[in-house]
Amino acid sequence: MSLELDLESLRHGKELVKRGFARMQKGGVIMDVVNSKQAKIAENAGAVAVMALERVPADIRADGGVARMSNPMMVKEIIDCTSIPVMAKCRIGHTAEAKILEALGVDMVDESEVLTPADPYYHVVKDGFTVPFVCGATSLGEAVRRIWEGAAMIRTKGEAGTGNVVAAMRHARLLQAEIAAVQASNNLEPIASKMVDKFFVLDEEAKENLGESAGYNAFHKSRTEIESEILEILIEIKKLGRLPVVTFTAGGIATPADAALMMQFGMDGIFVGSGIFKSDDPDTMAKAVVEATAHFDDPELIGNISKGLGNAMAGLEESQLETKMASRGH
Amino acid sequence: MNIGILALQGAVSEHKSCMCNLGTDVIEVRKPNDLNGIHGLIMPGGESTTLRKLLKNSGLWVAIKEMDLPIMGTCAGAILLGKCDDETFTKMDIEINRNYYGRQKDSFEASITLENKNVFNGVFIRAPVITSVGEKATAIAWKGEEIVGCIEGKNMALTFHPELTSDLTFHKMWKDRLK
Repeated sequence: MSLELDLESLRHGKELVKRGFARMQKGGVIMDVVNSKQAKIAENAGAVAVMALERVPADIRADGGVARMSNPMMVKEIIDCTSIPVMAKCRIGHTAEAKILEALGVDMVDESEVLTPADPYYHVVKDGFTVPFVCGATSLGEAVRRIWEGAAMIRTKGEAGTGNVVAAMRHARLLQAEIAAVQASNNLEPIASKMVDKFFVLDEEAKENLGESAGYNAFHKSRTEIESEILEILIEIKKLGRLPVVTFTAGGIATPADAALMMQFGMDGIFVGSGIFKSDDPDTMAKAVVEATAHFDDPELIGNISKGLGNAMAGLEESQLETKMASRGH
Repeated sequence: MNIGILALQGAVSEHKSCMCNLGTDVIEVRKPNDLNGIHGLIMPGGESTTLRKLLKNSGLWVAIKEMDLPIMGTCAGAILLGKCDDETFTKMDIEINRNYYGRQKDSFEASITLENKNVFNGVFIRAPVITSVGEKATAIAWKGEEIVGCIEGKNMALTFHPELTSDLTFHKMWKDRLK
């Protein structure tokens, strides 16, 4: 192809376009919805996007069993009924589900620990997709690995379906402390090397079984190559003082005040899963969380909108949880 | 010169750093009082339905509608400047259609041509399209035959995202009009 023709052509699915989509979501609220009626409520409340799924995390938790990608028919129904972006979840490492969601036309895929992981060793290799991905992280290492794999947005994992903000706060705090450590460090190579270890857990198992290994990983790249690419991401983080992609919070946000807390902490926006449609008055709660996210620094306003909300969802204490979703993935 | 950036939702910090790089003081606008003393307002890209609700609830909708304030709007911001089948400020004599190119997988980068034949890297994200340009507005940027940017007096509407690239051409062009 000649240079001239190349300039004329449209370039789809490049980093700038994928990360750019995430940037347009900043300061906004992305709401879990299970049908077109809820999608309309979310859109009317001012959500920047909806997450289409069959059950909200609180119900996934209560039901137990294996949680998979939602029925494509249900995802399509929500795509057809709303004008705002639609996201949907695939299981960790389930490339086939991610491809199906991309083909369906979802605007962003959430490779989510809320569903049961499909691959115990690897996440989806995301840079070959046209659709952008959001991935959860509990620490800087996880965030950097996902960004290296091609994620266009990072979110805290929190503990989905609990209505308890403490895990989201833990992950946001750790991310911040680790970014500070990277900024203070004059020797990022060992940090990069430590972050890459998680890609070689499978190789270590082979080595334990056989006494030998081939340095195997899923990316067809040498360890040295991966380390130097991870190092580049760390250098960018050091320069920016933050992740190079949009960073939302998720997992346990249940009230307008929770949303404000996380925004004040420096998050770029909010995912609310069960918090809206497990509350007494989803319509009013949805609008209030949107307002609180935009005006996170105005306690008087947040106090006012919180007056007539009804009850928030019932919450779960972290220590009583049977399943810690945040520990899924690496 | 003080420039306000509508900071309710969307690509706020990106526009902020563009204007800071041009040596401008930037004020984040979240409520009507924030409009006092600014010489122009940038309405960033984001979700236009979300922006419309937050603008109305904050009282900014009425304030901006009544003021004669120069505005630069990108993507969702451009929709609010022009005329479409939803409610807008109708500050510019252009018709604009939301999500024209399709969903996110249809979003793209493409070369944009300016009047002086210079080329700009345009990033289009679930972008709208300008379907017609009225008498009062003038086209300033094209993607092939398609008009992707217009000016009208001190207002500028762009369907793409100059704030996502480091090229300050359009921000400077708008700022120069405010003098």
